Amino acid sequence: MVDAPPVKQWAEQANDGWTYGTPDFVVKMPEPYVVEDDIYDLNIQFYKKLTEADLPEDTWVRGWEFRIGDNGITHHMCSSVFPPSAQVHVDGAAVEDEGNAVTGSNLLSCVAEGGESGILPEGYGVLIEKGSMVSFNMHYHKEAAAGSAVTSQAEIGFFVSKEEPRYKVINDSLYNRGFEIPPNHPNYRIGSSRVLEKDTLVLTYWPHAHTRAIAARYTAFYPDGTEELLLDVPNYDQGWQVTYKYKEPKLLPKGTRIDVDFWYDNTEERGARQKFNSNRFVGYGPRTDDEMSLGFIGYAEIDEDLATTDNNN
Amino acid sequence: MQHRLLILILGAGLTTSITVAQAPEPSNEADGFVHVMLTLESQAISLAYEPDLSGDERARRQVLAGIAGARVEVGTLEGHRALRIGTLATDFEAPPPEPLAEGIPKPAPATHELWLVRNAQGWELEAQKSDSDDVNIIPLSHHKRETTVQKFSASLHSTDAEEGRLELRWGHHVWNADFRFDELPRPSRRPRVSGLGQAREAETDTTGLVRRTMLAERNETALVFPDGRRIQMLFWKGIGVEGEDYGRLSDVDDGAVVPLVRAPPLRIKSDVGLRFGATDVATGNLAPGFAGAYAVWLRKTGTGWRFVFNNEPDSWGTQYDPDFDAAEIDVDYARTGGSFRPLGVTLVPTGEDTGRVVIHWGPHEWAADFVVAE
Repeated sequence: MVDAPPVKQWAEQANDGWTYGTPDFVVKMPEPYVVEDDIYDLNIQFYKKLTEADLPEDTWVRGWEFRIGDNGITHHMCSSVFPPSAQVHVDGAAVEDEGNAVTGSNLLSCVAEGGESGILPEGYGVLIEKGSMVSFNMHYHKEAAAGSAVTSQAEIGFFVSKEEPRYKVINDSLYNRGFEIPPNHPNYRIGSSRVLEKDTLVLTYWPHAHTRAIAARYTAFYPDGTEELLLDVPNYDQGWQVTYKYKEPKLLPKGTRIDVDFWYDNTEERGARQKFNSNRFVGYGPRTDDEMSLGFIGYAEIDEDLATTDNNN
Repeated sequence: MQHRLLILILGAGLTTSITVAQAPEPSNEADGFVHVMLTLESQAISLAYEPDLSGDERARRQVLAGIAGARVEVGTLEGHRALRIGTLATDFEAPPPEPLAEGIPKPAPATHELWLVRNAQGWELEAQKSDSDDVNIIPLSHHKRETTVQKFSASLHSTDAEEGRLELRWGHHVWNADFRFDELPRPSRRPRVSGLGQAREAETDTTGLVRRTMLAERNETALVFPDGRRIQMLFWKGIGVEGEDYGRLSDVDDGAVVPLVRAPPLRIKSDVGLRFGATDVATGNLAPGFAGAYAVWLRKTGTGWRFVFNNEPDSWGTQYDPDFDAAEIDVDYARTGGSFRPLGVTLVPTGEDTGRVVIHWGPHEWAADFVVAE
């Protein structure tokens, strides 16, 4: 005879719905935004300048959680923090892109359908300077129809670090945006690569592509000539995107090359299921009907004086 | 009689196969002109000319004879507003254009009619703006070569990140002019504004956006035939002679391809099939009835080199997979001047349906002639 386990308490029933407990502060889109009936696909930016009341001093955060609201039309939400020095456009063409934060800003992360945020491991954090601006890079996608309008007001809950962390976390992506996926091709590969300039502790991977993507893979090629499969997603689903997290950060030594591969199915059969036109070349674009090939990585670089050449395979 | 029947049957079969192997649609509108184009750092220069220069036969003969005072119209030049060639230069006093909303076509770049002129001092191009009396002068260096080309042709060669060279050929003559794209004044800094976005329909044509994104990473050289069919080659920006990729060039093993860590391989897309010697590089390799698309790798073979056309044009420069090889050809190799040229490509028209692919990197130059096969 054993005791029954305690009744599971779901996030919706506690902490006002926040998964990781009550955030230390919450930043919302400035106003609720109505995605009107006639909208099919919309990329739009919102900015919230943090006031003295929001953030009275420079603050390290150890995690954040995005809440896009239960609207069912948010293809993705990306958020960056712009310190005061980066709050105007460097030039007229500088527009925040999915996965490619504008120079000077710090991409927090993105979530897409099925995506998630999280708490960083002990000793890792992101600095938010006093007076920073937080962006909400929103991509809405739905059928344009009478009665389809939805109101959106995404928010981000931040969890403050009690002390200055040892490692500063960076989120960015490997990318190859000059591709053209051929019409009616069943299994087309797009690759990208990066060589690490410092010893690096990897926290997360988030492969991001759209409706033609069927597989994704991250592979490490170490300086000693060996290689290791870091992440294999053999049945990629645009509607169920996951941020893959290490239980313990993964050390990749300086000089490691990371290759990211995506494979795409641009056939008529898949097009009929996923509602895209398979009979054309498709390139990198913002609509759900267009494609992407972004291999996101969350990581921290190790200063030279802490460097090591071992990898914890 | 039996022989005739066999021909009819074969003819019917041929007709069937032509129907199945449908030619790709031309990428450009047919305008009767040959176009050569080069885009560096998203700034384009293009030159258009008639495949057979029409006009005054006497004037043409006088130009080819190098008679002082001779002049003949040879084509038109278009360029990004940052282009500087001869006295043709950006108006720095003009305010920078406001960024345009997507879907609003950019104003067409200024077109200049080009006149090839022999005067007492030497050779020059007169560039007359189409809608004004403004005339700019582009001085030309000149030399003669032993071989002769019957028809006028032009090509645009990249020589640095934002610099290049225009080359004209006709008869025994070769003329050159250097050009560059100047840094333009930056638009004023504008605050970030909440609530600005871009809505798109399912039918929205995002071709322009896709192209801008592509050219944010890669440079482009292109050759368009009078019927609108185009050959395009893309090469990654900033692969110079200081980086580790260039360093690997001298260490590549015999039989291996040159890897690129910082870039994808060169990429070719063609509305026409290309025949290099006896080797065909066909259209439709990835999608029947559409343009051909290949990665182009450099393979070292003893003291020589080869171009490898591979069916994975969007793999990375570390990801060569021989299982996807489609064709391989011997190429000419030479060490030339221009020791500091970043990795680049030029498509050189050499005749009505012939051309030359020239890849260059530092002092290295690899080249192969082709004939349009369709």
